[in-house]
Amino acid sequence: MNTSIYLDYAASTPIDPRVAMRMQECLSNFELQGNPSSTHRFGHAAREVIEKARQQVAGVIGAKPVEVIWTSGATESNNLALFGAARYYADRGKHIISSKTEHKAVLEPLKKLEKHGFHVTYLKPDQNGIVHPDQIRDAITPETILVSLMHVNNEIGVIQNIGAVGSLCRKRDVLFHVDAAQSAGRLPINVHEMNIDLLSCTAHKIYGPKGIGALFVRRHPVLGLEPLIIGGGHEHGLRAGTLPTHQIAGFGLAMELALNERDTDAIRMSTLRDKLWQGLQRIPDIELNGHDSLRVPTILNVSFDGVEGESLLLALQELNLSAGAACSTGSDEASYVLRALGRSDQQAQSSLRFSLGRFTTEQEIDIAIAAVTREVTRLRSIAADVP
Amino acid sequence: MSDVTSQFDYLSMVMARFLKPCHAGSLALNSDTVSTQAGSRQHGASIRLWLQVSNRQIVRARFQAYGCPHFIAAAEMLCECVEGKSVDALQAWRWQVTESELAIPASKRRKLLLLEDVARQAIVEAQKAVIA
Repeated sequence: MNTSIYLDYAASTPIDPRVAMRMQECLSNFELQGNPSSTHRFGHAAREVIEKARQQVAGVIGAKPVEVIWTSGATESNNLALFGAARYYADRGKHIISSKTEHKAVLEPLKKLEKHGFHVTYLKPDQNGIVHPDQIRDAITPETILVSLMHVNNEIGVIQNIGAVGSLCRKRDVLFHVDAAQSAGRLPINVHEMNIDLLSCTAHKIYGPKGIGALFVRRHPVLGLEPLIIGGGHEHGLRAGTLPTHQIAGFGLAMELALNERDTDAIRMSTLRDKLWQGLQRIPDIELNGHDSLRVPTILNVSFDGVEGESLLLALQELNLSAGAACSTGSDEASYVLRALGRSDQQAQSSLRFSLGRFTTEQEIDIAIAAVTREVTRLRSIAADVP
Repeated sequence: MSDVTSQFDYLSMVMARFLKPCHAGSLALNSDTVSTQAGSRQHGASIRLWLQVSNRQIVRARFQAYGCPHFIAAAEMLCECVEGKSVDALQAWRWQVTESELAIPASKRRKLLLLEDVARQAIVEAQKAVIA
């Protein structure tokens, strides 16, 4: 097949060539190959690269560099935030609040915490995917120690009102963790103005390398966290392990580029997404999933009535996209995110997530519209008279 | 979870039948035509089978199906197996053979049982048509 169009940027973005070049510089420069913890010249040189990247990441989220802890990605950041805070503050209370539409990297740690005596309230979003701050306010009890809410949903792209939630958490003296895997570098974030205590982000959603992420941990007043990985006391004792200089340098530059190009990227992406949605709307019996305006320009999730999701995904051979979260692609289970919005199993199962990015072109959108129209029509015709 | 995780996990035999099912369609319901149905969209898989039967010979077989690629490919294979053959061929059809030939994951077995249901009903209807 000659045409292969990538529309799965929400699962992972390709590395920006400028980022790849920066990483290559680190990998090919012998003087940057030292252990960043070493006190000699090579160690110091590597350390300088890492601290520059720490400033770059901190700058994008409005944090101080000392508040940025390197991890292997958003999954580890979420695990460290949730287990770390829950265990550290367990003597204060054992109640945590989150939502039903969080990423599995949040839901699975929460399930495990439940097995260890914590009580978790999973808030149901409205039919557009929005968790209202009032719901969180009403769910907070004297036992509540932590609220964990994603900024942008990875399946439907809706944006939660993080600032309002942060404000009420701070007033009630409850820690606030934000999974910002899909938003850091894409949306304006200021952790201090938004009263965020912990924030997870990752490089591979913003054209950086896989395998590197960060957790913002508030320092003033200092926030307690029990580490998951212990050893050499790296990262203020919160995450042991030798730091990967080239990965971190790539992450830092990717964040800086994301910040510098955020507004132009957003305008371009909105135009392409609108074009895609307008094109798809010519297909009868389709439905947009998620709020129609509180959303990022990069994600469009659509249900195609009367079409089985796995078949549609396979039929669209020229497109590389997902039915939902990458971890559930190919599954005949309906998306738990869409079911939480009140979609039926069948509607949820008949949905595709189109996610656009920096390298998406108008021509690719035209091809995608034509391919989806063709295959939805074909599959509906194969199933025309079955009940 | 399905055992299938990407398009590269499907056999070419599945891909060919899923992308270009020659027997997809329907037949006008005449005195020599039977039609049977099993499953529902609500439960993720549904099939309607049409057979044109003449002198115990299945002249034409057509299907319409809602379901995953394996299900559509299996429905196509069922039609291939019986078209041009006697009703006995339909009686001899076993879902296990299709499961094996198309390497259908065990998690999808319930969908294959729908094919068995629709085939059994068709045998009964075809025999009625022969008697009539």
